[in-house]
Amino acid sequence: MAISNNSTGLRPGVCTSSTRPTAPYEGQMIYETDTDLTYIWGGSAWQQVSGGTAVGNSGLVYISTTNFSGATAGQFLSCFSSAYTNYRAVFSYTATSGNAIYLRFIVGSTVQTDNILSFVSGSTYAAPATFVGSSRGDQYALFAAVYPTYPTVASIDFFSPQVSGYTSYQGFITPMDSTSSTYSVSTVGRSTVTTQIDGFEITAAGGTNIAGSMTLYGYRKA
Amino acid sequence: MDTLKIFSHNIETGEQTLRDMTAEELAELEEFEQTPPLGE
Repeated sequence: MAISNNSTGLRPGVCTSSTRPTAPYEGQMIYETDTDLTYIWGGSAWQQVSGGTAVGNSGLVYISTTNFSGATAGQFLSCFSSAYTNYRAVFSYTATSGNAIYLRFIVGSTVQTDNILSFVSGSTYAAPATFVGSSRGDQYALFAAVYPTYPTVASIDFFSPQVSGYTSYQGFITPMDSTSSTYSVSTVGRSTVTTQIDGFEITAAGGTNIAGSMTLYGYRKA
Repeated sequence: MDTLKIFSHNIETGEQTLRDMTAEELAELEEFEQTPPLGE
C-alpha cells in the first residue's frame, strides 16, 4: 500500500517523556512534545530516530562549522553550553609558512597564556618532559615537531568545559604529508584554570596566517 | 610587518568578524611566543 499526499504530513503518536505508551508494540512511533524527539519501540526499548539534544543515543551531534583565512588567530567563542557535557573540535588547516601553531582556552574574552596544545615546525622533536601536575606540564601539554605548512588535521575532545572545575582534553594532530620529517602526535592534559571555558583560539606564531575550517560537535548525552 | 588580524566566530550568535589585533594583543602574543618551550 502506498501512502502519498503533497499537502499534509504523517503524525505519529504524541506524548511526553513521562507519558509514553505503557504497552507499546514493536515498530510503534511516538513524538515527545517536551523533548521534541521521535522514538520507535524496538521490542525492548525506545530507539531515538534522530535529532534533538535533550536525551538520546550515544554519538556526536553537529553544532557548527567555521571557515577562516587571512588571520593570525582564529577565535571560537560561546562554544559550550549545558546542552552537552563533552565536545569535539575537528580542525583542517594550512599555515602560510612553517611555524608554531597553538591552541589555547578563552575565559570570558581573555585568551589564556597556557597552551592546551601546541604543534611546532622544525626538525627538532621534543617529547613532553613533564605532564599535568608538574610545574609546567599543564602549560605545555605537547611540544612536537610538525609542519603546519602542509595540510594538517587536528581533532581534540574537551570534557566538561562549560562548568566550573578543570577542563580535561585529549587529541591528535596529523600532517597530511608523506615526508619522513612530519609527525603525527597526540596530546592529553587539562586546563590551568577552574572557571568555565567560553571558547578557544588557534594561534599561528610569528605573524603567520592560517586558513582552514573548524567543526564543532557535542557528545550526545546518554 | 602587516597588521595582524584575528578572526572570531561566536558559535552561539553566529556572528563572524575579522579585525586587527590590538596593541595589547600583539604585546601578549609576542610575550607568549618568547615563553621557553617545555623541556628547555
